[in-house]
Amino acid sequence: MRLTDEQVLTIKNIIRTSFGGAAKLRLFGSRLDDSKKGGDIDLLVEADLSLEEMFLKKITALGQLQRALGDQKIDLLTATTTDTEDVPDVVKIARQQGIYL
Amino acid sequence: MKSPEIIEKTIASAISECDSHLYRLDRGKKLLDEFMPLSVAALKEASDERIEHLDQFIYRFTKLQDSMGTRLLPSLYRFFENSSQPIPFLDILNHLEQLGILTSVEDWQFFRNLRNNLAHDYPESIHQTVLTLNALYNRWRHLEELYYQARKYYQSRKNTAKDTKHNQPG
Repeated sequence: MRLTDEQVLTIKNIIRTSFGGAAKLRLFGSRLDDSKKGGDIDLLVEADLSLEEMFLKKITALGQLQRALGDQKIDLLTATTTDTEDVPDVVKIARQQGIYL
Repeated sequence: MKSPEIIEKTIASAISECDSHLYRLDRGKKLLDEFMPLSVAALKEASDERIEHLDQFIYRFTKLQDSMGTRLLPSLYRFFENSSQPIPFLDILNHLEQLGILTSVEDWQFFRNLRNNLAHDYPESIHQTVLTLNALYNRWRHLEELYYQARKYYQSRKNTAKDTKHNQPG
């Protein structure tokens, strides 16, 4: 995984503060590949919130992450924990390949 | 390095542009009052007139955000920090917040990310579009507040800042 301990801690704090302690947080995508360089920070957050709440928390948390980590490309996906079928393919991939932070 | 006079002209022009976008944004918002909050079904069935009102609202929001982000805020940074060093935009925002010109970097980033959501208007992302438009409709006054604070700061302190620059040893 190509994130520093400090970056992981920052991401976890922001996500937990925004989405609540029960939220599940995964890192997926190119940052899992130690042989690569740079690349987006791809995150999946799963929480049981309404669509509107989830959206507002996502936009807010994304801004906080950009500020804390510098203006690099961060892709923050959200889904409810009960969504299994009707989710975009990228969420399915994140669930299969991502690691919990 | 741009002279202070040129920076002042850019700021004056940006303020005039932002005032105009805000006026249109406010009118656009009033035209949408009966239509909001939006639902996916309502958006799919919206009349051409409603869509045109939504387009006006989105257009003026993106123009206001662009004008602040590309002209006003960088120029205010150059003016008050007396700096022409190229630095990342986030650093400019952080400096402006420290100075009290920008009330909240996080509020700014919130609108920047809403704007990015509106940049891609794919039919398959209609849910995302509806959520974005509702958030924008409910919160755009926060962007207005960010702008008014920056304008107020500049207008109340520009002369003091100019005097300080003129009195600096050469």
